[in-house]
Amino acid sequence: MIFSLLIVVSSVAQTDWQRWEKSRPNYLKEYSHSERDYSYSDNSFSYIISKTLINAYWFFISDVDGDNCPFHPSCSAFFVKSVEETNLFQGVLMFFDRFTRDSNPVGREDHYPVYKNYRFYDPPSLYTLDKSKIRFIPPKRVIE
Amino acid sequence: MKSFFISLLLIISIYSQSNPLRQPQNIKLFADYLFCEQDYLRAAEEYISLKETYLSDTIIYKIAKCYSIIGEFDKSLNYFFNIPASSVFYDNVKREIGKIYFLNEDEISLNKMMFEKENSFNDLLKLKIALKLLKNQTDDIENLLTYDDEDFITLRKFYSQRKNPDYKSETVAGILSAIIPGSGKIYTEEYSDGITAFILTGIFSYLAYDNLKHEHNFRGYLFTGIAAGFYFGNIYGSVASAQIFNAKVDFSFLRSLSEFLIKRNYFVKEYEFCN
Amino acid sequence: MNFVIRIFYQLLILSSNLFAQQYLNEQLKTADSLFNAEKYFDAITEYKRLLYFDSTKQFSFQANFKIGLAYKEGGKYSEAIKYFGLAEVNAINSEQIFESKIYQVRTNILRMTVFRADKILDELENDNRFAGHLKEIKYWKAWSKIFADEWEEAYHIFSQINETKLARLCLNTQNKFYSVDFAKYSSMIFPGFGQFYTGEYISGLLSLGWNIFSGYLTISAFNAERIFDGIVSANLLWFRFYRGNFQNAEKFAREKNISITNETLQFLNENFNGLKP
Repeated sequence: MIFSLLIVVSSVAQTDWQRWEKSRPNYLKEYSHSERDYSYSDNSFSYIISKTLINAYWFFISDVDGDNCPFHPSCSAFFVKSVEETNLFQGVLMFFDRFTRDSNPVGREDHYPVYKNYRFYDPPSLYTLDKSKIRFIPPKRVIE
Repeated sequence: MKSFFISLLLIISIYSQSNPLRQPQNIKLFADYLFCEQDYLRAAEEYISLKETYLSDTIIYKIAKCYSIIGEFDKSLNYFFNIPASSVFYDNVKREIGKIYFLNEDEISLNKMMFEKENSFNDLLKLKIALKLLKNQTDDIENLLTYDDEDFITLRKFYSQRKNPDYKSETVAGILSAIIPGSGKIYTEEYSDGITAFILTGIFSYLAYDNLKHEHNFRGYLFTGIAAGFYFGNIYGSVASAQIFNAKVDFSFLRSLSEFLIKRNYFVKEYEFCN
Repeated sequence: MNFVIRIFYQLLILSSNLFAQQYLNEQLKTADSLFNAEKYFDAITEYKRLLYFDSTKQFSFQANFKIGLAYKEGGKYSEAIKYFGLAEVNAINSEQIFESKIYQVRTNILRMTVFRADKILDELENDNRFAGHLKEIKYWKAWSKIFADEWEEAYHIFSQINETKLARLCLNTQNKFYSVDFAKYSSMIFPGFGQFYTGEYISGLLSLGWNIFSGYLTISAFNAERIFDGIVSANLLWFRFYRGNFQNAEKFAREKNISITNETLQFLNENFNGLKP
């Protein structure tokens, strides 16, 4: 899979190498607006508790205290996803580790790929200790 | 008098055809032009519109090549398979098919088409080794690295890299961070993260100690909790960091392997169709 | 006898040329009918065939132009611009040059490369050959301004050429915009004000609340001469929420303006029946 990805990246496909049809022009301006996801996607007790706390944090604090997190997903969203993917205990450990990275201002641009909203891309899937979930993306590459 | 009759014949032939632009030789000319313009899908479709009697090995080869280039591997294979063993293209057809099997990571089909007596054997063997390297099946590669040409020398280097990769141990990273916070990250070459972890754990441990000493119990326990969070989070993170480091090693290995294969054109020879 | 044969021979050659001409015309018809049936990919193949066999290059402009149009219809704007450029090179009169240039402009507008569209339009405006087309040039210039988000400029140009409907639309859009600077600076002076101005009342109230609360904590700490606590709450609370407050006001104004822009653009895309890029 990874190899095919490399190949695709290295070869530049031309417009007419695949059939295409008429398409409607799009006049609209794009803007990446990251909406908060307040919904609950899991039934476990620890998830519901942490998600409620995070929702409250988003609403009352995070949305009004300025643009502080350089990462995507943001630290709080990272925490919620970590708990969702693993458990509360592991999620807390992952959060502290992320907070350490967040506190380190040195060399981020040489270390992380960049998400389309111009933030450094640092998904929880890299840190669950499940090797099969790790998909290494080289620094500076833009993630769509 | 002679030229008069030739012209007459020519014109009659033009009159008798429905459209000279659709005559087989003109379709072929146009398809050749599209092929050389790298308009491969149109070229393939033009060649295919010719009647079967016009489909020489060269044309079938070019159709298959078009589909291979644009990534329609199934169609490409169909046409490559139509080229008989007696054709001058046969050896290279096998290499082209080998390339497609390699890209599809289809080891079984690649194995089935390898015959030692054929000229393509050596090149297909290289692809087979590269595929094993790609899939990290290093056990029986040693026996396959039997030849000594330049490609085999390079593949041997790749093999030793794959066999003894410069991985970092997850356990060592974890233990180091348990002894000195942050040192596990320094071991996995995340220097600034390691220093940050050390400072954060240090500051919060000091705050916890200081507050407990002055009997500010609530703050003391709060800072103890935070310090413990950073301490254990860092041990956890160091293990994760070793895993990511190793994933990065694998990634750069695959990238170099891919660059080598692209540079060598997957051991396929190219014909000069467009001179 | 020889003379008669020569005459006959030449007539045959002539007739064969005429027949070649007829086949090329037929080929053009085939390509056009595919184009009209919106089968653009196949139409391009047939125009390319026409170009390939047209040794006298009599169809070069037409075929390249149509290929450009087909790519434009398929949303392949860079390819389209390339072929409009080829049409321009093969044009035999200034009308054809004008037409291919205008289509380069229109496609550049759709591709959102308006600076390129503007540059071509400036060239056309300064070229005496196209003095009779000034209204059309201005029309597309205004469209280019729309896509460059310069609505007021677009309004002025449309007004100049009496395109009242479009001019009014541009003016209305311009009038609906929020002032980003006002939102930002008013929130700097009075926390939450910029949010109220952009209609984000809850966020405005929260910002106001946090700023009052953290300001109170900071000031009361300093008043009680708890300097360390004062510095900490000023840094970690007050400044944070104060900065967040005017950042939000600015962000809301920008986002609302993009929505307003997109609303008009969507109207132009779907409901406007006049000539558009």
